[in-house]
Amino acid sequence: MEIPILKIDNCLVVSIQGSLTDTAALELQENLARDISQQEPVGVLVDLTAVEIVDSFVAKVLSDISSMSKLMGVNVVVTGIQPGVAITLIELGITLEGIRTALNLQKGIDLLRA
Amino acid sequence: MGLTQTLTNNVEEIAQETATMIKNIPLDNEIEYSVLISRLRELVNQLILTLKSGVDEDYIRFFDDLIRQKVNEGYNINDIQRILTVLRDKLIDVIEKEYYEQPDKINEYFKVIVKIIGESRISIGKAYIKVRENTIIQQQQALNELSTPIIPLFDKIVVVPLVGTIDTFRAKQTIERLLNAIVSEHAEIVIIDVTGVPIIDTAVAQNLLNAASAARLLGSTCILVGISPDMAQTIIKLDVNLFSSVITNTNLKKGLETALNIIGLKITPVQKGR
Repeated sequence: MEIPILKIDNCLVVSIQGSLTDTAALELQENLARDISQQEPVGVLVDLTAVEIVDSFVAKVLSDISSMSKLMGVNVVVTGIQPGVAITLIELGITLEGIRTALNLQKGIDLLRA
Repeated sequence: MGLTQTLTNNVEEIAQETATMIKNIPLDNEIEYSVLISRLRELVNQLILTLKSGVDEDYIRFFDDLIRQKVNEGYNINDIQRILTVLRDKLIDVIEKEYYEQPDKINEYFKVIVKIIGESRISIGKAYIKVRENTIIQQQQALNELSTPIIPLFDKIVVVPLVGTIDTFRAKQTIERLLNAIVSEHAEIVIIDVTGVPIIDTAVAQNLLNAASAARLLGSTCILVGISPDMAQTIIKLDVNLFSSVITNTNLKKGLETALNIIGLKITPVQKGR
């Protein structure tokens, strides 16, 4: 299933629902890179509220997506990381250094607008 | 006449005379004579049952119950072992008296008695360890519950006062509870207070950093307060620049000021009168 990339005002919102397969994750990375270069948003929100489980590969891709967006000059905010997911990420050594995070989507939007 | 029959016939005598003998040896805890006799009666009856049916669940349960009760009452295990020794001597006396004409039987029954008393000692040891382990587990649980409170201090601010040594298990538990609290309280600021942490090593430092990183992933800012001078020196000596990514403040008061500052609030005096 392809993950939709939505445009709200001048931000891109990626809301990941349920478990993320390896192919879907890679596809998202490609699509997002393309959309960023075409639509030139000011910010990207990656919402993980509905993600309960991540494995090492998906965690790596998520981290890559964030760093990639940052590299392309847009502000990235990762929102709604669940406690269990946060613990997994830390244990895998992925701290998303330099990437902003917010408790939920609303706060993420506020962060981008600030 | 078999051994079990002989013992069954003499339960009362064994119990009473053993009790009298026990009165003459020094025990750590005083035990009342009548209680002692009824206890000994139960014990001898149980031993007879065991002689008939072998070591079974009833037998193990008997000692488990006995030891649990005794430990809860504050007796120590040494007295029980001493009593068992006296009882063994008494049982051997009874056998010698009963079978003085049949030395081969005496020999055989001696072995039986020594064996069953030995088994009892093992059971007592096991039961004692079981009781103690239960106590330790209970205390550990109580300690864990007590030692990691997570306090919502103000809207969007939670405080985690850490007290005592932080091992990996406790750190994991604290991180888990902290993260859940962040989500449920919509906390934007987490203040970790380490005033009560006496020593710090690389593992503890790593655990603290993990907590801070995990909190950050959820979207809250972590403030570390109460690092003692000793602790600061240790961290420098360990050459871990672990806390460069975390805001640090001297004490909880300063931490709270920083926290309010971040969320754009301040404490002002109430205007008196109108």
